[in-house]
Amino acid sequence: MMQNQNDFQRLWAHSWFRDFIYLAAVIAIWQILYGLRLFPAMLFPSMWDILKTLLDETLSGSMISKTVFSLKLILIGMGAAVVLAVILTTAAMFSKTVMDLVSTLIAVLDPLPGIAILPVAILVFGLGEDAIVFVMIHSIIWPMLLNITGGFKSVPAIYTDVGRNIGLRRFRLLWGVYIPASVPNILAGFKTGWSRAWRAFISAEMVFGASGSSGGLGWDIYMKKAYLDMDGMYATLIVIMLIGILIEKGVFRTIENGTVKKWGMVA
Amino acid sequence: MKKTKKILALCLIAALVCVCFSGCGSTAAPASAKSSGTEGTADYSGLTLRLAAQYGMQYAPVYVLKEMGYLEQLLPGVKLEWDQLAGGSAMNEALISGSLDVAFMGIPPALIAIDSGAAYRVACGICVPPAELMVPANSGIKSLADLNAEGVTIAVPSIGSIQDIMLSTACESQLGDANALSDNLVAMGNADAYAAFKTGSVTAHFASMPYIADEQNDGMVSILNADDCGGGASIVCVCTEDIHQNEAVYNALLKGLQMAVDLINTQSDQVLQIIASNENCTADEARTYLNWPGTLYTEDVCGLTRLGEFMAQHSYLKNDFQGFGSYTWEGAMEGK
Repeated sequence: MMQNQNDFQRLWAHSWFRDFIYLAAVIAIWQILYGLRLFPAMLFPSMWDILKTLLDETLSGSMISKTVFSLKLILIGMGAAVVLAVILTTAAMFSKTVMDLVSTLIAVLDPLPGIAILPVAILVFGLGEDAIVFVMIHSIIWPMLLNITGGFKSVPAIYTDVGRNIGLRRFRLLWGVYIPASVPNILAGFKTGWSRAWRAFISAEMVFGASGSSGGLGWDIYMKKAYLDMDGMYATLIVIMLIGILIEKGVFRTIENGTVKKWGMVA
Repeated sequence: MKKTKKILALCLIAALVCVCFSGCGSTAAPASAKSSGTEGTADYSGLTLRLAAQYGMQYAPVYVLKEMGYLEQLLPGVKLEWDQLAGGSAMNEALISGSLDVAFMGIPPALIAIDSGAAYRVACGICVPPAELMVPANSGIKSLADLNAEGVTIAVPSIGSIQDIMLSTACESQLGDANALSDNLVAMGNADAYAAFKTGSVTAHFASMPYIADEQNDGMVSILNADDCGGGASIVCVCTEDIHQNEAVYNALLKGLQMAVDLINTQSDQVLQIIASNENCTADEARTYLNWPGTLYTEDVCGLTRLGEFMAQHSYLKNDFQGFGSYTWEGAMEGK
């Protein structure tokens, strides 16, 4: 009995085990709710049917191609937003005018949901991938800038004073002091940007998107909703959640462990 | 002790998830439409009817039904809750979840839902609207074959909409492949599509009224209409089983819609004013819209069998088409 308890505690210490248990609990609760018939089965299908559809669509390759299409566009949006954010924050560090401009732009544009500027995007870029990427950049860049500039502003003066005392100026001060001291904020900006990118992408695709072979996961959800294929729709949502877990656990946590945790900046 | 805490934490998480789901469920309460009265001495003060429609001239009978207060007259004391939903897909979800009692939509989304097991059925038609595929006059596009090219985009209100299915039927008859233009489709609401069309962001727009007239005024021309797609198809009124089983309420719904359709067909000043205020147009424009070629306001359900057979044949439906009576409440009249 004691041995079993120790084994459980050992396993519980691993985050993957805890995640697995949480996931299993959600699946079990879903299936119990389905069994209780609290909701119409047409809109709340069995988890087994959802997982079977997910497996079928993965094996047929259709889910993979849509996922790859979505990831490609999201990475393009993230990449473009990161480049713009780096340029703007760097300029803002050296110019009070640019800093004021960036602050104003954040205050004005950050509250605007990406989908709200879709008509403007269509007007400028026409229908298609360019408009979706534009909407994603809008969704990503402002929270990212907010976090990065917030991080820079909160760097203790003693750090920058030390940097200046040892002769660091401009880019070297930025690279040697501001950026390392702001890594937790920068990471938070990336995380927010990543989730905003997904939301913008899915929303934009659900408003419009080319049908047939060229759509991503948002279009897939739209099509499945239109044809009341709820098993398929939830299967697509699971894929989006799995990608979120993979990026959070695989990418962001690895970066955190290698930087801010290693440096003792966060617990 | 630690283990107890962990188990407690797990239970809390489970409870939280349950609460979340319960919260979602609050909007999905089963539809109820019970009256405390009987026909003749009716008092329907305990009855709430939840209805939903969309915008556009094809919903003109709904405008009249609302503005003339026919349902309130036929069901004294009834409480009506009107919603505007974005399309057939949202209507289906609301009907199936029990958030709606009555909805007005195109035939294809209704067939998709009934085929998938939804318990609602078509009660009657309200309008056979015109549907025209518009392209810029100077585009050189004369037929569907000209649209079958890379980079061409055709806006339809939604996938699975009447326009989407009509386009497929035309593709099959003219191009030999029902899916010939599937990769060229974009799904956009009529207003967004109109704006995108005017700026050249989409090549063609399968429009309904009043956008057909607006686009024609902007120099667009029609290259395909409902007749080229095998004929027009109704916008229908669907209702749940609860409503259908309540004979007095169901009959009042049919009667109210019949009164609305009849009044529309008089094209009286009153009707024109109702349409003008709902469509934000002038009375003259309202008259033009009502008389647009291909428009028919009738309670007959037109095109259901034709579309049903096509949709089943091309896998829009999971099952074979079961016949007109399987998708309608008894008494629904089949039109051509």
